[in-house]
Amino acid sequence: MIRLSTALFVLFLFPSVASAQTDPDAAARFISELGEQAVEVLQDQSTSLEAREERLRGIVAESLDVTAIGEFAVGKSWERASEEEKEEYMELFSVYLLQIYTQRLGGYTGQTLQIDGSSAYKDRDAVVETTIVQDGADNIDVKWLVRDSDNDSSKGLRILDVIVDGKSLALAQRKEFTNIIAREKMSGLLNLLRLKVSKYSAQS
Amino acid sequence: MTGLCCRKLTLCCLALIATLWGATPAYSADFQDGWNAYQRGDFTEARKIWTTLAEAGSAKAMFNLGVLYDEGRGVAQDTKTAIKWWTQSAESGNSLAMHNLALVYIEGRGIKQNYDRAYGWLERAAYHGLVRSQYSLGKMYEYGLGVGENQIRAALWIERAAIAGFDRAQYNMGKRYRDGQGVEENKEMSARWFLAAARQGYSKAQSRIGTRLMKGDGIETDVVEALKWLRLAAQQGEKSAGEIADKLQADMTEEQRAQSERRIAAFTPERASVY
Repeated sequence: MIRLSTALFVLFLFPSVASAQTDPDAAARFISELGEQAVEVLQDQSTSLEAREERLRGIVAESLDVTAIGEFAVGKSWERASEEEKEEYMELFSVYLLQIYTQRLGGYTGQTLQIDGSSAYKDRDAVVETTIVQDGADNIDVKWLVRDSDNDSSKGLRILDVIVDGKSLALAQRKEFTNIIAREKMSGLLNLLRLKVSKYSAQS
Repeated sequence: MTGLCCRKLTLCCLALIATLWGATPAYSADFQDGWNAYQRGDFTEARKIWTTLAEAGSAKAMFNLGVLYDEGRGVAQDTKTAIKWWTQSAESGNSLAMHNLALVYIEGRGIKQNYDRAYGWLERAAYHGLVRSQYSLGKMYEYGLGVGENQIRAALWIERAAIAGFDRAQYNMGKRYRDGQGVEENKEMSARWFLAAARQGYSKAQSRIGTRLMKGDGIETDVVEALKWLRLAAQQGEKSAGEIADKLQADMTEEQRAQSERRIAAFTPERASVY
């Protein structure tokens, strides 16, 4: 049984221009391979967690459509931003987004990603339904919104959003960023992003 | 009588030393067990160990617990719980917790935005010598976040972090000396800071110093070094650096290009140990 309520909402918000439909089976394989690669990197105990996550960051960078997610996160402000603001925003957002996704994926060490199914949505994207299975704890439902961007950018399959237990990361991001922009304009968001990436992680 | 008192006192001291001697390693060994679990990727185990220590008063364990909750490692992401642990840790004197807590107050995520509190915690952490806090405090002055915009104060804090070796601060000081923002305009100082950040592998700084070396702007012209820094910047995604490098290379001799290539191959970022 596919539960798409949250995913559908997000799908409506991501701009969709006329293009080829993303193959749901290919999307499922893409997510499955991503999971396998992540597990392989994270289980390599010969290097430090920091080094493993650096490798994972590279994999994540190749799997996300950072530009689409970044534009979506700031809503209509994207069109109003100057070229200089857009460039700096994307640079900062990319660092921030990869940091978040890498930490979240790193947090699933020792668990397995089970592919439950995939389906096409509208005329462009695919949703892959998965479960993160973990010993001694509740399983987590994770849906992946995937788009085949081959037609317009030769990027291939890319993730647009991750919906964890019904909560869309892209929507949460958009809510947070648009609130900041409403309060402090685009320049305020840029200032905050510059600071956000300087948090300290766990220490020995 | 006096001899007996002395003996008793000595025994008490020995007992106290033995207790402390015994307690301290055991405490750090527990913390290390948590760290080992964290490094293995067993975040649930790390959380269990650090929770016990945090409840016993360990500020380091409180800080790390806050990170686990903030980053959603082995537990659902929970900013409020992260804030709770970071607050306790910061109040116990942990400067890293002060810094992270300040950033959360600036963001206003999971807590009401409060620039005054953010400033207070950042200032305390900055005086503890934390370079990221010094830099962030400088940025608060630069943007006028909760304080009056003050470029001189901004430059003072950022330069402090730059001197300690923080690459982003060094790059920022390069720009400040170039533009005369909060400091007197000085091309030589600007080039010096760009070079310091470039040596640490900071791509934007590599691009800037490459252009300066090409033009002899604030630093003696050196096309071999210029090409090296521009190519290194381009390797890290600085597109314009790659374009400038292509043009520069066209006017260089074969030997000069080969020299640059050798230096690029031998380059290893000299990372400062302040992060």
